Amino acid sequence: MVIARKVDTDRLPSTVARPAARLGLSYIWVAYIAFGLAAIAGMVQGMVRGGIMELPSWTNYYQILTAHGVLMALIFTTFFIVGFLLTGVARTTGGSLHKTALGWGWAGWILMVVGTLMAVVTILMNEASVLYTFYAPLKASPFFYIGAALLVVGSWFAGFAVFASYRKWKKENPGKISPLFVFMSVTTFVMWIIATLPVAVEVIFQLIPWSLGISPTINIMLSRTLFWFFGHPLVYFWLMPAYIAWYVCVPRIIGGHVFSDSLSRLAFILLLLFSIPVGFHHQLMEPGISAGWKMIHVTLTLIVVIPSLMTAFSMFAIFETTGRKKGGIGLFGWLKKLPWTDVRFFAPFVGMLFFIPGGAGGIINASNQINAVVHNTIWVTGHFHITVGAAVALTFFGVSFWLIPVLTGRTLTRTANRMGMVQTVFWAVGMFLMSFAMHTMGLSGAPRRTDYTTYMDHPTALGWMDYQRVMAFGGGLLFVAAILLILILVYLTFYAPKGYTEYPIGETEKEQQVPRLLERWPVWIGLVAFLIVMAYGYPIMEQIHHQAPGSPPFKTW
Amino acid sequence: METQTNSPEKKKGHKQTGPQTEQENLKGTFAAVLIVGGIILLSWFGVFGLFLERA
Repeated sequence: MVIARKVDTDRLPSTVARPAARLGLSYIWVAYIAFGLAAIAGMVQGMVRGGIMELPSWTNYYQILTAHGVLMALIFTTFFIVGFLLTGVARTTGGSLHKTALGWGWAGWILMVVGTLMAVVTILMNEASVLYTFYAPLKASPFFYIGAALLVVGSWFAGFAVFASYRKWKKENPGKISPLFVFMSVTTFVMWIIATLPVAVEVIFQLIPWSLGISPTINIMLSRTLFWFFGHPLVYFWLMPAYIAWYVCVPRIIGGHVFSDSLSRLAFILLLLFSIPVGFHHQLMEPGISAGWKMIHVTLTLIVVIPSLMTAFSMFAIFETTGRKKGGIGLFGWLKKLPWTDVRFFAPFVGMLFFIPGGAGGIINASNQINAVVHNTIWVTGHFHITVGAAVALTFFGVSFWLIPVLTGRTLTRTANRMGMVQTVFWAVGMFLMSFAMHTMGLSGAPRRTDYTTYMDHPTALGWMDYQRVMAFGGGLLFVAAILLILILVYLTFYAPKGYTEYPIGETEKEQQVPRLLERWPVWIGLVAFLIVMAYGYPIMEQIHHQAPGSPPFKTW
Repeated sequence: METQTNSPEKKKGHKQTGPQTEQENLKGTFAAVLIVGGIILLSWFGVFGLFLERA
């Protein structure tokens, strides 16, 4: 085993130079504009689904649902992630991004903004009410798909900016292991680029020609398989940046240390390996894939439990070692010593708590037989709201409370911190009520992706109505929290007092040895390729060679 | 095995035993991860029970 020394990031400037800060802020504010619009759509959708209000005739539930899903799950997350990772890479590689990286970063921003505008305009024109999964044979305007493709390609450019910074750092620091933040960002983008290739193929070679009328029909099975090839790693593209904040930034915020550098890197390598060849666990009820291939995907999915539990262990270990150093005693006395009134810690911590039932629900979803209990029910909607909508979103909010002041040269005031705490509580309570109701209704069979209906007053459906109202009330609290968040972020961007804010980057307490194998990218990318070919090669070949009759497009709205 | 570490512990000949010092008390962490594992198992068997009931 070859081991190498890490760089001491404490000696580097703990802020970000202006050009990189401007780029990061541009990404983050597009993310929050999308978030604000998505929050409006989400609130309206919750009220309609809860039977509390009816929509005017010029719009429909599925249009609002598509707007909410696309803006929140695809646009808010992707823009925020790129902004966070680019600025973190700048911070840990010397405080700035060099010209090439900035060029890639801005080119990516332009492509992503153009793609977003195309997708949003087509949704607003009611030409793309295909939900954020854009399953065929529902057909959107070709401009929606072209917009989605531009968004993905733009995010690749942002990945190239991270790779360019990494390469430059490696040249300047020969023989050294990269800073943890950079390593994790590179892993995230390697995963993302590999995972988005099949959805790019789906969009470019299947959906666009079909929606333009060039191909009269589409291979549904193949398009769904290519979508979920990307769709599950998309979840990890949301989660891995949240993990970066947990592993690297939170320890510094609470006055502690990174527990183990090697463990953190290994967890990310395992996520890289096992987040992609697993998409069939989203297609367990589909007839076109044989049980054997589904079993392989389910097995690979369940391996992700290992890096997830490694992360849980690391977080508890960071909290316990820090709490004990501050005088915490007993089995859980260290918990009292954590900085509960600091929103930079509190928001991601609440997110971590949500991730416990979120992870448990994920294992249930991925288990072949019991997937039958929850498949296509509103349980699944509850599940991804407590994972991406709570664990990831609360972490991103917690990051925003210090990242925006870092990028604008301002400070997080005590009042803003207090408002952030209130905002976190509102979001957490709203999300708890809404997702609890969704999980419960889902277990009793309430379908997802449906407008309000009592199913001709069927007794089972009538039993869901109280929960639907709880869900709508939770959605209302979430909307209040969203408005509060936007107000705080506007304050931090334009009005907070000028001053120095640290970009928190944690370090291990002592020098730790890191196996250099963890940074041998050809090994890991080769293994990913092997796993993908093993898990997807034959089924995809079969879907191409023995395809069922293709489907013409449908517009159901 | 080639080593490039400049770790002070290494130079003094101290044995590197892990990420933290030997004295580190991680009993709470152990208990917490057991609780997380318990929640996962309870949830899984709960829904599996529903599956069996409805099968």
